[in-house]
Amino acid sequence: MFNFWIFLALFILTTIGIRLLFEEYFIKKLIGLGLLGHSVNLCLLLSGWTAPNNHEIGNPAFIGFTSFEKMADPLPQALILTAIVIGFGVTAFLIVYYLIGESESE
Amino acid sequence: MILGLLLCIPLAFGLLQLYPWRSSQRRLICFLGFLMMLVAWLQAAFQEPLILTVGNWPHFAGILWTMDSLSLVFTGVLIFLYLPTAIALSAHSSSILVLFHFLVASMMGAFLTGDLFNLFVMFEILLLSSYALLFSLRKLKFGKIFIWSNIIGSAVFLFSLSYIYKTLGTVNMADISVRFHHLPSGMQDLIFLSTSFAFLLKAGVWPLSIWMPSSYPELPTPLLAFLSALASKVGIYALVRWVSLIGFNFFVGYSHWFLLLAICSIAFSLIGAIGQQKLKNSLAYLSLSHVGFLLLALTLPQPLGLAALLLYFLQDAFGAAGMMFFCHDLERAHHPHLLFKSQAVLSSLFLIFLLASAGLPPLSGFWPKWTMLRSSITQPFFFLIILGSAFFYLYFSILVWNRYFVGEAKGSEKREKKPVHLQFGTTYCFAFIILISAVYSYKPDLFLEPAQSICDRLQYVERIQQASKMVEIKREEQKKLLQAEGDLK
Repeated sequence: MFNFWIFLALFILTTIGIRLLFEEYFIKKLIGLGLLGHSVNLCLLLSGWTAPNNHEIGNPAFIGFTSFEKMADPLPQALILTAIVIGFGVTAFLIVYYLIGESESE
Repeated sequence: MILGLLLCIPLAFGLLQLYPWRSSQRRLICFLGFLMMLVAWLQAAFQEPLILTVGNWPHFAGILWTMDSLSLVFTGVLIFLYLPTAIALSAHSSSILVLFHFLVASMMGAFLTGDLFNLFVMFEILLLSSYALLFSLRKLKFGKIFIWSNIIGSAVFLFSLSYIYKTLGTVNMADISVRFHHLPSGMQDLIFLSTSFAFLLKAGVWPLSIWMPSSYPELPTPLLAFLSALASKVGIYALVRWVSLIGFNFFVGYSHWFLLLAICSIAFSLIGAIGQQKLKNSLAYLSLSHVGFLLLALTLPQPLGLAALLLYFLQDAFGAAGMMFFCHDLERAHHPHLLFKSQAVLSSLFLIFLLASAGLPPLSGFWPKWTMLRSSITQPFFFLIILGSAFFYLYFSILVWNRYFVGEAKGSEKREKKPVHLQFGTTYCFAFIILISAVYSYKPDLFLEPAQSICDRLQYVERIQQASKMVEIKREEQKKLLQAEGDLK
């Protein structure tokens, strides 16, 4: 049941984010980029495993060594951290570019 | 160790360039960097396969760098093209040189990584530094479509990565290669197509390079030589690696779609090359048509198609870069093109570059096309397509030559003509083209053995699993040592 709300949030964030990327104004595009980044991070979070459930394919790196009742899958969290940092960098870079472009055109 | 050096040298030399050296000093530093990378690469070439597990984690849990014959070819071309570009760029401002070094470092990382997520990170560094290169010229408004289409591509790549982790429980390339075939076929299609979408977008094939005409030609020409020779090939490298992991048997089911994309991108970029008014823009378009040819070689029966792809990549990287450096020499001399009348011998150098990439027999471009034809001998459809696209490439490149070098001089262009002098980059690339022609005609099956080893995905997987077993053995030894020390105390 809890996953349903996350999926709903994922859907809303992705649709609004992609729609905003096609807007004309830069600020709206930037907000769209942020929303899309959040939806990507949520998606990565959802990809974490909670239990080894498919014996044919094999387990993720950190599953099967310790009990996972009180611990989350660490690997997707590392991936999210990297994705957040890169998204932040891209956003900051685009803002700086936009500001310089504005000040030059005046 | 050597892989770590290869990754760190461009970064370190990029940071060195932050200090305001004089331009001759900058040139010397670039040359030193080239020499160090070359030595490291040669050592790696004689010791391959190499594997570097960062922090001694086993391969499924940690960051892994690896070098096999595919990445050996690509890093080699990267290092050899680094030298003329860096030397030509050291006349420009130092900020461009720093960003260029970051670009080289990220490409090196993309060629050496053994982990899909790491590949994403390297793509992002590559894109950020190329945005910044556009930005340093205050001309980013030309690169708008480039930036936003790449952002969408990165988002798609991340979505597909999260799906891969959810279904396969790993982002390591070797593990993906093992586990992929246990999935139901619908999931396989989804994973393969979404990831290929991202790679094709990086290769400039997917949105038919609509971003190209407005962004690339604004860059300084030596940098453009490097980018047109290598930047879009990073996407091709990722695609080849991805297909070789998934297995060519799986890829055959989709090869018709990829063939269609290849034909579209060849046709679009050839027509685009004719529609331009400047030599630089036409050359940028011509270099994109090579991506189409590489994709075409990927769809052919293996391993001969892959051997053709490597042959084509090697000769086209130097050919495209050489033509762009020649264009830079023309720009430096402020020469209104039509060089044929004043300096016919010099202009014939350019013709040799063009014919080499179009593939006339004694020159290097012939052998990859011959190998492509040989691999498709049982499939007349592929055979005709290769012949047709090679012919059209030749026709259009002769049109380009005709427009910019021969033809009638217009009245307005009758300025005082300075003679054109060849710079280092042009002669360097020309020497390489001649060398490659000689080597290819001596041994046209140069890359057949590497291509076979690339096609054999189990070989790659076994190597990496062995390496992580070695890591575990090392760890146990260390544990025993620690225990022994504890007992002594």
